[in-house]
Amino acid sequence: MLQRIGTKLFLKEGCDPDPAALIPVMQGWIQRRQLPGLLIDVADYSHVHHGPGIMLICNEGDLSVDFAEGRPGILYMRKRKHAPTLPDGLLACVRQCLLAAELLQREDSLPGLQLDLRQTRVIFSDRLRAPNTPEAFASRRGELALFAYRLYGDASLDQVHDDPRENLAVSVVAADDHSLASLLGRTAAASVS
Amino acid sequence: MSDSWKAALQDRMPQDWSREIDIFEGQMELRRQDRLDEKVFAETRLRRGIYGQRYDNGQRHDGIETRPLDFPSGDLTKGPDTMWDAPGMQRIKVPYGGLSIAQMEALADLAEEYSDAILHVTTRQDFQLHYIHIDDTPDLMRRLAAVGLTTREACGNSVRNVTACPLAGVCRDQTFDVTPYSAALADFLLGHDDVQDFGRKFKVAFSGCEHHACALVNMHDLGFLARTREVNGEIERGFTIYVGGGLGTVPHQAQVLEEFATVDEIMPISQAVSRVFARHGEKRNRNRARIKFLVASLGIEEFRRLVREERETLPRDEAWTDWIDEVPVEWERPLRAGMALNGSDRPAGFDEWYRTNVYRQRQPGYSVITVNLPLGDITSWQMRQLADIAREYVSDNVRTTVEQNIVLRWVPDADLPALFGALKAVGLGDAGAGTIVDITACPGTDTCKLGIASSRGLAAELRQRLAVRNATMPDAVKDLKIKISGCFNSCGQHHVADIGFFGNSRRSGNHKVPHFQVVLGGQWDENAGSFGLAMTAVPAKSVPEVLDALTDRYVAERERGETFQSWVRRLGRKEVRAMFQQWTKLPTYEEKPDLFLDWGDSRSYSIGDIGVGECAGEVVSLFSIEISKAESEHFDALLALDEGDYRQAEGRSYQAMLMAARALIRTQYLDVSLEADDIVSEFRTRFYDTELFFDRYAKGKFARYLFARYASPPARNGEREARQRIEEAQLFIEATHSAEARINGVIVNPA
Repeated sequence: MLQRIGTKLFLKEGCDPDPAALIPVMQGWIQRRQLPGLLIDVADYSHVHHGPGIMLICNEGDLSVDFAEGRPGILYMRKRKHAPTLPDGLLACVRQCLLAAELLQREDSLPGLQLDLRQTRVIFSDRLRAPNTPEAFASRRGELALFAYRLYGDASLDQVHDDPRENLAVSVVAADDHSLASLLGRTAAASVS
Repeated sequence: MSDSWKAALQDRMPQDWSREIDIFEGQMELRRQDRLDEKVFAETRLRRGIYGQRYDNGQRHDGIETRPLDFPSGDLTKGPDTMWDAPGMQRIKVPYGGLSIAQMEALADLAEEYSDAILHVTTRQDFQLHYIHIDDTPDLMRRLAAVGLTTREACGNSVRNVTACPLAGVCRDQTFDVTPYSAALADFLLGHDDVQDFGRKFKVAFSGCEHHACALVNMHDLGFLARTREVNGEIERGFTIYVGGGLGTVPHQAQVLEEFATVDEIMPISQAVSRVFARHGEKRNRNRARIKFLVASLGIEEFRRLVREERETLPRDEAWTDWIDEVPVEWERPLRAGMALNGSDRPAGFDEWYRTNVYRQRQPGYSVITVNLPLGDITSWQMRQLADIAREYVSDNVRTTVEQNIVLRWVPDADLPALFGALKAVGLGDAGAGTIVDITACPGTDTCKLGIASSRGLAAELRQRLAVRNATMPDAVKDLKIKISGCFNSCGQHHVADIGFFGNSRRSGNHKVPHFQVVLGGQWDENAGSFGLAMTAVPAKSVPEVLDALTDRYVAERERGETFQSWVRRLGRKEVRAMFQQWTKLPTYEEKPDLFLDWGDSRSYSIGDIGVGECAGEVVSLFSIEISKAESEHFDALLALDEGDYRQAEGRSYQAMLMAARALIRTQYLDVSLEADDIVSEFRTRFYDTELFFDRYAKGKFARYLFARYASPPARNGEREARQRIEEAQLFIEATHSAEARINGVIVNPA
């Protein structure tokens, strides 16, 4: 059973949030229990190049404002067992990103934070069950298509990396524009906890 | 395709390692079923390198209040007060720091899949992964075993990672390459029967030379310093063996056990030392259980006699010597032919990087380059890119360092500009390795449950500020070393830095203020030749200003060629303390609320569960007044030490402990006399027997310093005794501060 799955929603180009401003925001989420799941701690990795940025450590999975590849985004990586099907698990991951986005956009200390909601990066962090190969991608395509349909309706799927050492990552691109509210509505039944 | 890592890697793991991991997995299951005692499982887990992290007791102070963390496994624990589901740390041993490309790539994968995509290099050349779930550890260990890495005995009361100078084999000043000897001893001691019954951990290091930092043998439980001698016209290799060094709360310089031991003796002598330590070392009181205490209490002569006696009785083991004939003339081979740098185009930033990050090897045409890792961290992606760079330029000639960096060895000089460009492209081309910006820091409050202040937060702040000024900084300042620990336990090696800091806290009104004790004048060279001494504690947020004041004054006042250590000695402790005085007087919370926060943390400062009691009033307490007198007495002890008056230094330190104890007693009983008998008796009854003085981790450790000194005044008054008492008094005073705050209550959040 795949349990290390994740999704990343990229910020719009030009959005480059100040990592220092994210620390009190995420610590506030813990105080007010503003996200689903067991929220434990905030880790600061802003000192590393293209790194995980600021990370909210949770029992079920970690949520970060991630700077990998120099493309900031909201990443949720599930660590423990998730919903019974892969599409349900991925929808729960996306929903966690969307809920975090909604909270971040309310923060005065993070002005102008906008997401590119037409694209979702799906990440399988499990080299045993989901290596970064065309075969592994093909074997998951059906489940990924179902996930994409439930999230966006019409959407395309593409394997992201060629390097077999990398995680299997899939770019899901919607045919149409979507708002944060509409995606929250489409994922309303999913939850990480 | 296999459906488990165990099946997939069965043929790639050493059989004995594979079996050990299976056994550990079985022990995990027994613990889940409550058929294995939690204490036994905790030590088992530690010996597999799996360590607890902050909040693993299922509670967290979130800046407003302490709240439970309701982990899904409920009451299931992985040790006393340690919840099963709580994120933990996995330490991975890297003997002598040697890494292969396959190992680098495996580490990158493991960090990404089981941790947070960050690999952290430690001050023992290990790697640490944080936020690991214990359920993931057997597979993690199997994947390491498949590339020749183990976590066995990376923590726990056993032999930790065997370290060695990262320049061994290529150093211009080395006596000979210590790499094969460190590798062989690490292999010999791993899981050896004679290292399973220690009262505490045991650290081993190998140095190729005496005068550089090399592997810091003076601060190790067991250290090997390369030597040669001429016998019948032949050069014979051997080692000076040191024993009983260590940092920790009370630092000790190692002493010479054997002036010259031939290479065929390093294993039997290590085995004999291990047996003596296991047999005679303290087991019940873990705070006196390191071998340094045994050596100090027996005296080096008696310890040496016991080791030699033990050595004579050891049954011969072929493993002592069967590796010697296989020691290669050259441990490593270069991937490419050496070639001079001359004439190559130099990209922007290259010259500064070359000045600080490149070391010219003894082999012409080759250099070692240091990849300067901020706070010892590298991402999984960067590690893969670095593996590719190694593949292109140096192959498996890669090592970690105790300064939390990675070095690539055998780089042809002509390749340096291209290699610099490749490193820059992946964010690993920072200059400043080994300089003031290359700050060492332990995990501190980020993840360590013993952390008192944010060592990483402070290190990040200082690194950022110093990097901006780096270009204009005088060389005398650039070359200083800063090392930071989150508490007095010295994991950041603050004792051997020019400028060291360790975390503690102070009270202002009803609030706790994170502080760092400033430790000046430690020596990194000469294999950690001398330890710095604590000057005074300053608020964490004031450290950058303190550092500026210190370095500015050093630049302004230093005499030609004068080292920082010499300047500090010349300035004198009194003057240093006077310089810091402006930061030691604490404002109220209302006057300066930012001072009551730690670096990188927006929460009101707290240390775990303390500070949830009732308000004790805003007035300056009697305790605050009296403890300040104890601190003053302690300072006078330091001055006496500087003047070489060891008797007075020791006596004043003891007096400072008595005064601190009395300050605490008077919060309950005003009429306690000034007599030592009364103070110790009252303190024992009111605070030790009741365990009110005990903190969560050290328990009554620091109180026992007072009791031991009260019961047994020193037989002699040498420098060693004076330094030890000064350290003990410092820690006792710190513990008294903490106990008072815990007992009498501090409000940590004004809301």
